[in-house]
Amino acid sequence: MQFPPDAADLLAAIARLLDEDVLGAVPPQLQHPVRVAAHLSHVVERELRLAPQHAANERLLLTELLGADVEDPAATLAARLRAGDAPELEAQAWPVLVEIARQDVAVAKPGHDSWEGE
Amino acid sequence: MNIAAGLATYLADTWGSEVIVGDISTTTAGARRHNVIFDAIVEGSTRRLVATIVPAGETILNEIDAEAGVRSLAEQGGVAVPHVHLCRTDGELVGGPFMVSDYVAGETVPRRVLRLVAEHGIGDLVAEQLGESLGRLHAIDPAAVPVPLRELDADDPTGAALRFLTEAVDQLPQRRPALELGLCWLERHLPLPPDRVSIVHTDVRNGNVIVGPDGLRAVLDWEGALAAGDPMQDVAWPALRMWRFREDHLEIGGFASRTPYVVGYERAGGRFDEERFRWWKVEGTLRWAVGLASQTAAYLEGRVPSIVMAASGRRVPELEWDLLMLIRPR
Repeated sequence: MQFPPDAADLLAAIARLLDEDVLGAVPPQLQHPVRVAAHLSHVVERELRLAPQHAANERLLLTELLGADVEDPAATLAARLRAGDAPELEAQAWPVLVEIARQDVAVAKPGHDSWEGE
Repeated sequence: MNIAAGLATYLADTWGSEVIVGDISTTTAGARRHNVIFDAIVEGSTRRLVATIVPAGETILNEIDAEAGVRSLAEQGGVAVPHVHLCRTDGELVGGPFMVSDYVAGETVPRRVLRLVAEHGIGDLVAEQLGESLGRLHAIDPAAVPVPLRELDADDPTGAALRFLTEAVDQLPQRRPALELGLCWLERHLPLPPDRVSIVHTDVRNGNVIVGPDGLRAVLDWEGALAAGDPMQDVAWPALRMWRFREDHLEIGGFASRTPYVVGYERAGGRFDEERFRWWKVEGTLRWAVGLASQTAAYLEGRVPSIVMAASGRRVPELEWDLLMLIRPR
């Protein structure tokens, strides 16, 4: 068991350093990569905090949709959609995949799901 | 390498007069090409120019002479573009094949474009001009291109696009149900081949245009132009959410709604087809997701050890979200 800060807190600290101190001190050609590095630190920070709950929820949603508890439900659903023999599955999958995408963007780009238009 | 001296030599060769090159600066180094802005002084007058150089060994969609050719053809057809003065497929003196065109002042960086457009209240105007530019481009006889452009499948552009995407999804390192659902939708809604094919720019959008306070000044980046495709592919592309830069309610580039854009397109002779427009929006969003995913694959395989490429994979969920919103069951 590691002593605090936990991994997410450390990534937040790295992101802050990159954003607030490093970004202004590097030559122009490094500014974009440094910005990306700061952004990724935040992404992974959120992932560490949210992933356990998200993974469990995703599994639950997919298992319910598939009507069976399989080892890799995402791959199973993908394969069944590819087979193209179940139009009703496509309709049922949409709201489930929206909910999963909402979880994923909560990690990757919070707020992106506030726009629900085309 | 002395790029200024190289440019002076090539320009003197073209214009038949001595040329002095000065005030040279590299800008917006695109992913695959270098843009160099400079002054060329010839017979006492100064011209502000841009050299677009393709570094040796770089992968390209169209050779530079094909790109310059379609751009000049578009200009003759009434599309605003930076006028091309010179194009060379050799170019040893500047580091690779290149073309030189007029420098057009204005904004190209998307968020700055949005600020400028808001400040001057010209969102509808720019959208109309953008639609008009595409209408004019699509009115050009594809057989008139001076140097052959890349081709996909002119007989069946939508079918070819779907086959390409299906293969690309198969190559991904992870099965993604949202992308599969996108493929299902494209398959079920696959339109018939278009009545007529046209030259397709493939990347007209906020970010590839120059805008000034007076409106649209130029359409840039003709590198990916197709010899013959579905005109609606071009019409749909600037309407995707990823080119709105947080101004999501304004479908066209984050600065205007669809109406003035379609008005401009149809005034220039284009025929707007809402069903195909929607199909190509779904296709474009899925293609962008697959493109980002393959950038990450390039990183994971050690081909491109860049943090920017690594980050691309984490953008896939936002594209999946956009895709799902586009294919919402009706």
